[in-house]
Amino acid sequence: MSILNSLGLFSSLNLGRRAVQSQTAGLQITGRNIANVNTPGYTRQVAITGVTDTRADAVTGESFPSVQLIRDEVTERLLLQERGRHGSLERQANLLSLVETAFNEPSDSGLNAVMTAFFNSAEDLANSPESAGARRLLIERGGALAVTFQSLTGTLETVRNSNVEEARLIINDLNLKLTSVATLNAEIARTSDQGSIGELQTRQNQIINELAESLSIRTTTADNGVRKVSVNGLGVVDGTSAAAISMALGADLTISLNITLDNDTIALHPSGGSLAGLMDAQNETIPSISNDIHSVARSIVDGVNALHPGFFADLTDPGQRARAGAFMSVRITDADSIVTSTTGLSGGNDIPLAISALRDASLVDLGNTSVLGYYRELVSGVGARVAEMDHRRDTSDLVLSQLEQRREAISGVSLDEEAANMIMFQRSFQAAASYINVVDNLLETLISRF
Amino acid sequence: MQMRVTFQSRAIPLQRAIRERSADLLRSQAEITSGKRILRPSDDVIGVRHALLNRARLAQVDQFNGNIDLGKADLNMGDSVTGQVYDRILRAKELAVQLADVIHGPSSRAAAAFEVDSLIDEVVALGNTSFRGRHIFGGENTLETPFTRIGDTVTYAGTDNGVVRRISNDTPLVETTFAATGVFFQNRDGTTNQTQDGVFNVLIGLKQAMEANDAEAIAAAIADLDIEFNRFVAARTDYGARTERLIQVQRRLEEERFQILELQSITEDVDLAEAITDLQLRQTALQATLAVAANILPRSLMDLLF
Repeated sequence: MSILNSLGLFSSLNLGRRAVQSQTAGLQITGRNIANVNTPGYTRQVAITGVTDTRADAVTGESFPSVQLIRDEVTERLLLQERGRHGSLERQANLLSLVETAFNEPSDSGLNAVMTAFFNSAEDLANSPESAGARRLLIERGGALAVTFQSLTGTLETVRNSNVEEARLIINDLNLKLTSVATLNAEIARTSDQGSIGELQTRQNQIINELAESLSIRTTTADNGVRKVSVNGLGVVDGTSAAAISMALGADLTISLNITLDNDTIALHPSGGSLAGLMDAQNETIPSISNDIHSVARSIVDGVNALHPGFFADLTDPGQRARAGAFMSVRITDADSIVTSTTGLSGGNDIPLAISALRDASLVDLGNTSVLGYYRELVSGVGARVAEMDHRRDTSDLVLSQLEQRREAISGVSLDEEAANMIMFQRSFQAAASYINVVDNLLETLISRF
Repeated sequence: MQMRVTFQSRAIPLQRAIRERSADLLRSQAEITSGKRILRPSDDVIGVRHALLNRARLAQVDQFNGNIDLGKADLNMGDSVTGQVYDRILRAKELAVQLADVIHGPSSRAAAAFEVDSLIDEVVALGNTSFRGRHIFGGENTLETPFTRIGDTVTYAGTDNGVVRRISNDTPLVETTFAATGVFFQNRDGTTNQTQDGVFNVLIGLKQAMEANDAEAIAAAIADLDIEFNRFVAARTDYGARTERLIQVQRRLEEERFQILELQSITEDVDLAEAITDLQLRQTALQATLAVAANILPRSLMDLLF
C-alpha cells in the first residue's frame, strides 16, 4: 500500500487527536498509580501508549493505548503460602503467650509458691499440732491452693471459650470474602475495558491476600482473568460460585471445619492460616496443658485426702476427676475437724508430717515425679513452646517481609518512575497539541487562499 | 536487571526495623525496671525450671530452719528440767546418806521424810512442765497433765513415744518433746509398768522408810537413787546429742540457703551494667533507624520536579 493513500490533512488532524487521547490515557494511569502508592497489595499498571492504524488493531486484536498489570506469578504464589503460614504461627504464638501469662511464673503468687506455702503450713501444723491457729492456717493455705488452681484452669477455659467466638467471626468473614471474590470474578468476566479489569483485579487481590491470612489457599488465574481459589485441592471459589465454610463444635469445645460445595459437605483441614493456628491451639495445645495442670491438682487432692480423709472435696465424679483443677476445693471449714494424728492424741503429728512429705514424693500418676517437679517441667514446657512458636513466627515474619519487598520491587509503585512518566506524558501531550496546531495552520492556509 | 526501588520497598524494611528496635528497647526497659532477667517462662526455658526449684527449695529450707529453732527450744527446756530433777535426786541422796546413820532418831527422820515429800511434789511439778502450751514430758498426749500424785502413788497419763519434727528431708525425724517413759520411770526388768520403780517410787520408798524409821531400808534406797540419777544424766546427754545434731543440720541448711540465694540471683537477676549498656545501644539503634526513616521516606523525584 502506498503511503500516499493515507495522506490527507483531515486524517493528520485525526492522528493528532488520537495522540492526545493516548497521552491523556497514560497520564490517567500514572495518576491511578500515584493514588495507590500506599495501597497494600496494589499492582502497578503500565500504559502502553501509541497510535496505530485501526486496521492493524483489528489484525493483532490489541489496541493502543493498552494497560498491563506488572506482576510475578511465582512471587505472588509464595506470598500467598507464606501469608497462611504466618497467620497460623501468629495466632498460635498469641494464644500460647496468653497461656504463659496465666501461669504467672516465676513469681511469689504462682502455683509454685502457693503449693510450697501449703506444704509449709502442714509442717507448721506438725510443729504445733495442738494449735487451732496452725489448723486454720492449713485450711486457708489449702483454700488459696484451690483458688489458684481454679483461676489458672479458668483462664485457660476462658481462652478456649473466646476461641470459639473468634473462630465463628473468622469464618463469617471468610464466607463474605469468598462471595466477594466470586462476585468480582463475575464482574471481570463481564467487563472488556482493560482499565476496569485492572481495578477489579487489584481489589480481588487484596481480598485474596486477606483470605490467605486466615486460610491456606492457592489460586489459579484463567485467561480471561477469572481467579479460582482452592483449599487442599477443593475449589472454594470456582468461577462465579463460592463455597460456604461452617464450623462444628465437638466434645470439650474442639473445633472442626466443614465446607459445603454443590450440596456436598466435606470436612476441611486447613494446613495454614490463622484458623488452622487457632484450631491447633484449641484442639491440641491448650487441652494438653490444661490436662497437665489437672493431673497436678488431682494428685494433691488424692494424696492429701488419702492422709486426711475429706480435707479437699473428693473427686469421685469422672468428669470432675478429669478437670480436677477446676473442681478443687477445701471441704473442711472448721479448724477443729482437722485431725493431726491417727492416734487421736493432741501432740500426734503424723498426718501433717505425711502431708508435707507429699511435696517430695514421686507419684506414679505423675510419671514418677513429685507434684512440684511435674509442675516445674510443665511451666518449663509451656515456656519452650512459646519460645519455639515466637521464633518460628519471627522467622516467618522475616520471610514474609522479604517476599513483600520482592513483590513491591516488581509490582509496587515508584514515585520517581511515575514523576518521570508524568513529565513524559505531559511533554508528549504538548507535542501532540503542537502537531494539531500545525495541521490546523496548514488547513487554515489552504482554506484562506480560496 | 537492577532491583526496582519503590516507596513500599523502602517502607517495609523500615517499619520492620522500627518495630524490632522498639521491642528490644521495651525488653531492656522491663528488665531494668524489674531487675529480673526471667519475666516469663519463655525468656529462659531452662532458667525458669531452676528459678521455680530455687524458690520452692528456699521456702522449704526456711521452714526446716524454723522447725529446728522450735526443736532446739524444746530440747533446751528438756535439758533444764532434767537438770533440776537430778538436783532434787542429789538432795534426796544427801538426806538418805545422812539419815541412814544410826545416830539419827525417829524425829529427825520424820523431819527428813517431810523434806523428801516436798521433793516428790517438786519432781512431779517438773515432770508436768509446760512449754509453749504443751507438756513436754507427756509424749503425744501434750495437753493433759502427765503426772498426778495422790498420796503415795504417782500416775502417768502420757504416752510412751514423744513428738517428732522433720528437720530436713534427708535425715530421720527427731523427737523433740518426750515421753517420760525411760526417764521418769522404767522398770528394771524392762517392762514399763509405771507403778513400780522410777524416780517417784524410789523417792516414795525413801520417804516411807524415813517415816518408818527403818535405817536399813533408807540405806538400800541410796543405791536405787543412784540408778535413777544415772537415768537423768543419760537423758541429758541424749538431749545434748540431739541438740548437737539439730545444730549441725541447721548449719548445713544455712549453707544451702546461702548457695540457693546466690544461684537464684545468678539465674534470675539482671546484670545491671550489662542491661544498661544494652539499653543505651538499643536506644541508639532505634534513634538511628528513626533518623533513616525521617531522611529517606519523603525523598522522591516529586520533590524536585514540582
